[in-house]
Amino acid sequence: MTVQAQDADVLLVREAQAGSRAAFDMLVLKYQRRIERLLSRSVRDPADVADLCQETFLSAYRALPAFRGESAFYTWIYRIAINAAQRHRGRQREVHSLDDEQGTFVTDAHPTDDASPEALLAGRQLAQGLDSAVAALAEDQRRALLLREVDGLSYDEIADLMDCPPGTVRSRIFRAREAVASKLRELLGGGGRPW
Amino acid sequence: MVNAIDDAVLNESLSAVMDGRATPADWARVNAAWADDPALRERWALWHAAGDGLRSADLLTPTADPQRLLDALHARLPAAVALHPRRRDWLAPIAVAAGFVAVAFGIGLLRPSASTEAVAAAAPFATPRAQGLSGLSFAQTAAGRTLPAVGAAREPGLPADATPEVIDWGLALPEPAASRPPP
Repeated sequence: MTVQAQDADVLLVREAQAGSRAAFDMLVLKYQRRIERLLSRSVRDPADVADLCQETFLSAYRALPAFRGESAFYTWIYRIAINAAQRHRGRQREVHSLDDEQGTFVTDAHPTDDASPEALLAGRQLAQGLDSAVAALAEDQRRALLLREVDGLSYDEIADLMDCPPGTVRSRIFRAREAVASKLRELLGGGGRPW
Repeated sequence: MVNAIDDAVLNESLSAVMDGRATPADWARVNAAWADDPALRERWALWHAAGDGLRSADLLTPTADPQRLLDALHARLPAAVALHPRRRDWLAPIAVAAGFVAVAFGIGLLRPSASTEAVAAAAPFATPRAQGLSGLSFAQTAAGRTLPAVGAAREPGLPADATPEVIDWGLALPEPAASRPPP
């Protein structure tokens, strides 16, 4: 988590606390991937992961008024997700111990979604697609995007390095994102997503 | 043509929001368009997927349907209300009220010959009785944390012994158990 990522969250958290549903949605979409990945390390069933992800964001929404920004938003929501996973495992243990008493213990060793060959292949294809999309960018756009996303530099710092105004940096990063997203959209297009 | 330009401006604003560099105009634009613009939400999700993927290839995995997650959350969330009104909305009246209190106090100090009663008469707002607020400060009154004075007219329909509602906008709720680390 870079300092810049935290800065970006400050606005969204403040606006969500002030009642902006859009700001809360943005936080959800921003962290959905990381929370799902975190949960899938301790919960095997993909349906349970989806439920717990939903529970995590719901708890976060309810607790948002108490969030004072003393830690990064991701650190805070990470703890909420970990607690949700622990409660889930506790419930599972209770069910299993009851089953065990009745001699009908059922193992929960289902294959994990992200361990499946299909998921690995899809991830690899996305990574290759992303690499080729970034490689196809104009040099100034590629540099601006990587300095921002990978190195976490601010617009001002990138402007210094690239010897151009911050407004130009903002424009280059935006255009780079548009081009990369267009490629990713093609790769994800077969998924039948509503957007 | 105009729509294409508007879209470009909106999407560049979204990019600035993503980088924490949004101006108030950027935020107003994005906030107003978000609910009715699925393309905007898709962009946000794709840009973050790309950013995550650039930082770590491990993070570039397909997620559960983001729109389904949002729909499920919206169905369970209460209607959009201000969870934590902005501090600046009530800090200003508190500052003004504190100024009044300081001036009233200063007037009292600068008039050494006046008796206590005379000071009270000269600065009635500084006395709890004149406030009629059962312990609430003038600053709290000015900030909207008001209680009706004893014997003052009550809202129609309220029973005579009804406790007036105190709205404490400033206090944050305690951190819920869900977000606390386990013992």
